[in-house]
Amino acid sequence: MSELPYGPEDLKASPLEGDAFIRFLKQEKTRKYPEPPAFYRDLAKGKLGKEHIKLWVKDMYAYWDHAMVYNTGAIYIKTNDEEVRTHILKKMVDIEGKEVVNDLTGWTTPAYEELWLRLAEGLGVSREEVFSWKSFTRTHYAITTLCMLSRWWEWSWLDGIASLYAGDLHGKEAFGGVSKGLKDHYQVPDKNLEFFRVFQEDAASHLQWQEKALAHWCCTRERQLTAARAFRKRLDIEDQLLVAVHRAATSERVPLQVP
Amino acid sequence: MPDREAVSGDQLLDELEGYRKEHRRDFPFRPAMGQSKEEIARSKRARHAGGSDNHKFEGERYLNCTDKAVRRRQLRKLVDEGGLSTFGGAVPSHTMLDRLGSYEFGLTREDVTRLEKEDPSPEKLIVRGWWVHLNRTDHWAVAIGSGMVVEGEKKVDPVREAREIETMKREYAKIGVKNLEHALWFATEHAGVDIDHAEFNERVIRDFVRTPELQDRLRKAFMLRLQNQGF
Repeated sequence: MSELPYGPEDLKASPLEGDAFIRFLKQEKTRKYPEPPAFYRDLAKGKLGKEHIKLWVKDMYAYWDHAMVYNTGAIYIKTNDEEVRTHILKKMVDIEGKEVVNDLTGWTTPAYEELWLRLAEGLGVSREEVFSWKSFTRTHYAITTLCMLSRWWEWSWLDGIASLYAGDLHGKEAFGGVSKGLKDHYQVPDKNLEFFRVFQEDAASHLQWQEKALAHWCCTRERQLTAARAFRKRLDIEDQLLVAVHRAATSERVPLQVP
Repeated sequence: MPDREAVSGDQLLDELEGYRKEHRRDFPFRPAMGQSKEEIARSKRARHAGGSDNHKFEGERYLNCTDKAVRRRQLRKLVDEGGLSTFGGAVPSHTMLDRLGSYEFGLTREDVTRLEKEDPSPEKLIVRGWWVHLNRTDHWAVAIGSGMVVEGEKKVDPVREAREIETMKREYAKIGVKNLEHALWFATEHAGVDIDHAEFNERVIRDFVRTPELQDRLRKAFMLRLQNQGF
């Protein structure tokens, strides 16, 4: 957000072809984060205590309850292309609960935040405990940064699409192992794992249009450079969201919390 | 600080409707009748220039809303605006309805796309600039309540509204419009859905615009929005 602007030298090269640009983004993800975050790796292997899993569920509620709603809505407002905007609208309905359009579809799937609360209940954490949790400061910083970049002038609408793409790629790849780990090692009942099934199905439905939109609209060198930067930043944010809780699980010091 | 007490929601709504009545004496808000096909096409071209701002101001209301139930109701409204067809319904987005209407007056898809990329008129620029700013920066309940100006207009006299649509239908048929359903779809859709939306706006005003400060902000927003028409 404070980087120097790209100059004539940076912008001399031709843009990548659409498909090559998408391949480049995927390579960037592998380069920066070749493995899932450490917390997820340990969770999948059953190496974490149940109290740390509970901590994670409490700490991530603000992300599913607020950050997802806010950052996606902010990108929606910036998007003047109707086709892309319609896909974002679908994503907003996924996040807020498909039951929002029950009158049109009969769908009853609730909001991500509700599914997350049900996951917490499956671990024996009450809703009151979740609501009263004070986020780790690092998590709060990460959420605030995501909302700020999405809302204000730092990211264009296309940068925002790159961010949505990174978020969905990250979740889709990581959550299979997380869900299995919760079931196998922490005895979370299947019905409480619905969040992961819903998210993965939703993410799969969004990745395709996100790739198509980025391949089409990132048709200049500058658009590609800034979208790739937003893509990397979202990956950084996703990673940072899990650092404090992993430190809480693996070191003796409790990370700082929002007062 | 406002020098008056908060009034009840119903009193406030009556007061706002009073402003509307007064303003409409000088600036009536009725569809132009008796125009030629070319005149209508010209006004449609002007309408498309600069693109649609609906998702911006409606989206700002959604994003700023801090009451989860209202926010989700506002999202459902975004679905009405963004197209029921997105979720299996029959009605496309209001932007598309607007386009379909224009196609019946000789504008092509390419014309509309080109116009939507063009600069808006200077008047449209500042009217929209003010309007998006209000929805972005004012209290969310004031922003949603300010929707009463346009959507509430449909509640003033629904019988006259229906009569006018029928008149337009006859006029359009007379000037050779082929697909009358498409030509009038935007108007017929709004004659219905705007009443639901106006009722939502009224509920938000009753439940959330309850302090003298917010009520004064809504009065100002309402009057300034009224002034958009006939600007």
